[in-house]
Amino acid sequence: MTNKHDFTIEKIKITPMNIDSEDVKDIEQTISKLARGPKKGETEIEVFKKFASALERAFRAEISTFSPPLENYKHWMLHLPKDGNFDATPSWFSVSFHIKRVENL
Amino acid sequence: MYSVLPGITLPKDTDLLWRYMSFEKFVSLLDTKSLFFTRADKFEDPFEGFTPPLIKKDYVRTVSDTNTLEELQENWPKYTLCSCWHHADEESMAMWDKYHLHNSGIAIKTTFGNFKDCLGEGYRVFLGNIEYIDHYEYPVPQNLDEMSMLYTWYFHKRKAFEYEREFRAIFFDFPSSFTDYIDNYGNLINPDATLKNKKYPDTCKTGKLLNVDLNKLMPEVITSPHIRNEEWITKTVRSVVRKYEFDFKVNSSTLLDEPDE
Repeated sequence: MTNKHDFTIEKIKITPMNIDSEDVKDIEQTISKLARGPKKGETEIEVFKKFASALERAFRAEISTFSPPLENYKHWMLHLPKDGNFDATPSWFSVSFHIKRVENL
Repeated sequence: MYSVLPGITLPKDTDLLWRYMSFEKFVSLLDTKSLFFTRADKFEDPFEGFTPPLIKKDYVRTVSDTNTLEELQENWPKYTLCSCWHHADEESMAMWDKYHLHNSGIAIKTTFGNFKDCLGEGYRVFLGNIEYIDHYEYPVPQNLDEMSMLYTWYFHKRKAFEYEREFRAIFFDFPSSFTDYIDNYGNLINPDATLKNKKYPDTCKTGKLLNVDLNKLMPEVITSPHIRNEEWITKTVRSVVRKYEFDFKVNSSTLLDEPDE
């Protein structure tokens, strides 16, 4: 039996590495669209995984990488290559965010 | 943004850090405004990330499947990206020679305070001095956790490398598929049961570029002592720096200058 909850993705911050500003706007729009609304999952990590997969598909990335939250820094960090993989160009971007469980009343 | 692992020491903010590199790499640094972090498995030292045997033995007592641990440790270096610096009060002739920087070498001279300030957002690096140890005699620390087990050994090298006086910035860069095996704080969940048949995809071929604030990183760069009679080279470096619109100082090394009478 599964025990799904609602989560939200909040406090999104996008940091581009060697990406032109026009491309950054497109990236920001795609990410906010995918982050919008409640996300169903059993755990924070499950929500993270689904979000990472959605971003990989949206940006046609072969792979994404991540840094988990630390005790004194609660953000997840997800890193995606701009052009398929991290070796294609030095261009990549990082998305940091909170995954917050929605408490049911 | 930076973090420090338990038990790892940091330089003082005013301590000097040096990075010796070729002119081509220096131009790439200016061009990308990024420091290159190299995969630890691309380094020559076979002891990179090597866990001291006494510690491993102690840890293995809590893990029923030691093959998994072996497999994990074998693959971890490819997700450990390092930027290595020389921590010393003075410029070093040995470092110029170690990197064969006879004609077109550059040394970045910075402080630990500047290094911390130059780091950008969007990535999290761990900083620390390398501790030089005898891995076979290294005792078991009291509070050994998952993170120490897999991460901290990249801040330890053999005593044969002590002359390097190395300071490191490390960016741990795991494929997102690894989230199957970690908890919310990056610790492995049930490591003895999880990683069987898991693939370890490459996330990059040799390393990754991380954006930094170069004006904060580089108050000064120094050209090789071997070109002391070729002032045009220092002028060229200075000109390239200005073309990229940076304003840090470019000076010639004085290591091979004649002594003052």
